[in-house]
Amino acid sequence: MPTLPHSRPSDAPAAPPGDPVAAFVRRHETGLWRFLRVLGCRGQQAEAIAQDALVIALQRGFGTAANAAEADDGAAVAFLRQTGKHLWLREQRDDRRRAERHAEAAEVAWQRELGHDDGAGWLDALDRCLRELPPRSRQALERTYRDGLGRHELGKELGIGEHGVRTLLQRLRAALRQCIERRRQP
Amino acid sequence: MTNGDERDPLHDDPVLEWSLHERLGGERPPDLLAGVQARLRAGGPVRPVAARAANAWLAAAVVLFGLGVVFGVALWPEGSRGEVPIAPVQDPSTAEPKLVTVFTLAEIEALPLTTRGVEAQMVDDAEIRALTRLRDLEVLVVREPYNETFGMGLKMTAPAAPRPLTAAAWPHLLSFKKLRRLELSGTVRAGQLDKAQLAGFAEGLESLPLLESLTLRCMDTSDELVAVLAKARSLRRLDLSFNHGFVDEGAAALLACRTLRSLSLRGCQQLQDRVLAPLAALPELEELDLSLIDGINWRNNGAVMSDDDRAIFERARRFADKIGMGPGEATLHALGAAPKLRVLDVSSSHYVTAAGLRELGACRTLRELNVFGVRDHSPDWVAAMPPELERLEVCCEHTDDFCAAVAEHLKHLRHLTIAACYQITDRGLAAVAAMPSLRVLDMRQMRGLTVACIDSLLAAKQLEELDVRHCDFVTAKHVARLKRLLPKLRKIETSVEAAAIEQEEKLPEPTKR
Repeated sequence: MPTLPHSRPSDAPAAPPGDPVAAFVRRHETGLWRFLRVLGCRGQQAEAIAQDALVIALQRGFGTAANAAEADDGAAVAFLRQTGKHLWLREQRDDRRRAERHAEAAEVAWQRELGHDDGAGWLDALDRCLRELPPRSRQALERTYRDGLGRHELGKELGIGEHGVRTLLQRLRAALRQCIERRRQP
Repeated sequence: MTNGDERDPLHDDPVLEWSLHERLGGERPPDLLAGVQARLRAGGPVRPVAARAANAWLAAAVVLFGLGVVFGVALWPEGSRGEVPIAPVQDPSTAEPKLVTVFTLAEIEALPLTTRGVEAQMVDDAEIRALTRLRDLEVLVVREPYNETFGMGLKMTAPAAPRPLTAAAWPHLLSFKKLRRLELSGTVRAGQLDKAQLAGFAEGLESLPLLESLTLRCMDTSDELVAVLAKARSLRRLDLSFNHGFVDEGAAALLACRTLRSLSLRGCQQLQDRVLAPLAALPELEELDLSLIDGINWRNNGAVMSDDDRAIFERARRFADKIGMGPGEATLHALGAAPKLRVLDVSSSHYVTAAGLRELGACRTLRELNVFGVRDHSPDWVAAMPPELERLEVCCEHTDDFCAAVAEHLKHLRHLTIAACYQITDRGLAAVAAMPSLRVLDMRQMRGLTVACIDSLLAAKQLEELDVRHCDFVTAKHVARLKRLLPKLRKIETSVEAAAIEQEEKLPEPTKR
């Protein structure tokens, strides 16, 4: 399984040598952003909170020249995730309890499945599973996730009812998860 | 995904949900470095929670306690609300102090000593000297707007008695020790330094360790002046647009500015392809603007030119009176090897060819390319571009074959401008509209399209921004349908009157067909 412990956005330039701040951001930005996405934080908000957490961490001394060794990254990762989660929950005033319950479950899932490589191995397995899907299933997922179609529109396109779409998507997700887990078994 | 009676898949399986959005929905981990650095430079967090929450408190205060309480909440110091202060997301260009605009000595003298950003318009040397009491100044912009127009743009008449800034102001301009950005625009006389002034200018630049951004736009600075810009040790952004004062030697001297990340030579009509090509060797260069070097968009001087001004202008015109002005194949070939180039603008260039663009394609870091107005319309260069290209702008005689090539090769393209491409038909538009990665489509004034292309747009559920201005077949009904049926559309520009769209949107559903 490929791992990417210090991943950075694929097209982002590498940190210039001798710049501990840039190196710290590059080491943690992808993992932190994905963690926030798993918590349920979306779009601009995920980006804003990730940036907030990185700024706070740097101001607390993480990633500074004296504290830049990768050995210290474990503490930094924990700090960034806790800070990110805290900032995310603070903005969930409408339904904070529900968000807290979800965040708790999502955090466990993250630790178990993604934390060691910032999700790179999971995405790799997902890619392979998506390639194996029959065309109609692939179409249903693409129209849902890529094009943002609702059940009604997708049902019309596939010639099935809304209930059928719901069942189809549930089964597809379950099948994908099984496939990913199978592929990730040692 | 989360409506109706379906259980929220995010809560059922948040990991799978995230990964499907990243793999199929086009989401990508963001590049946060520039924003974090800007926030740290600006002194860190300042934002109180979300504006939404603050607004809710204000609304409640109105209901419960009346206006007096509202004022109390509004004036309450940020730090006393018990919130972790967080700054809004900012990019480096916005992470600077708000500029205060001044026109007169009285306005300058009234500025608080803590002022960090000033835009001074039509001020003279004495007024710049009066600014020097602002020891915390980080950003200074000085403009003479009547000298900023070019080409066919609207001209601005100079004041009856202009008080131009002169080169004698440089010691004051370079006396702000905290200066991070200095921008001079249209201040033509300030560009003409004698030998002693030039020596002082070089010394002044060396004494500004924080200066990151320098603009000498719409003025004429000599080769000798450009040659000392490398004295600014931290310079990252240099804007010499519409600056006609330097020629080959000045352009060559730019290579000494090894820290540059962004360089604009927009509208520098006097620069030839062979002179521009070596700039590709700048080791940190990420953004390069070589647009509008077309022999047409010369600068217009609003004020009557002095003999010195006229001499410089005529010299630049003599240099530009040659074949091969602006970027061509030599420049594009060299940029193909640029190590960090991400953004290139060569719009309105006469000598950019398909062969040159194919060579540019070797630059695998390129993400944004503007070739708007380029005259070679063969589509075969598209396949040579890095597949990671995110933004592409073209216009004019491109055809459906171009659209097909874009759809086939540029799988990560998010922004496409094909405005005024009269040869592109509904078939070509359908090809690009179906690109899963596409988020922004600029299709202004496309006269080869018909009303049938609306169906292609209605199927492009991924679109977030759409520009259909000057497409005569687009009606209020079409706009209303697009707004209703494209779930991610957040911005649509049209030439249809807003009132007609609003009326259409109010109609009950059945009558809309």
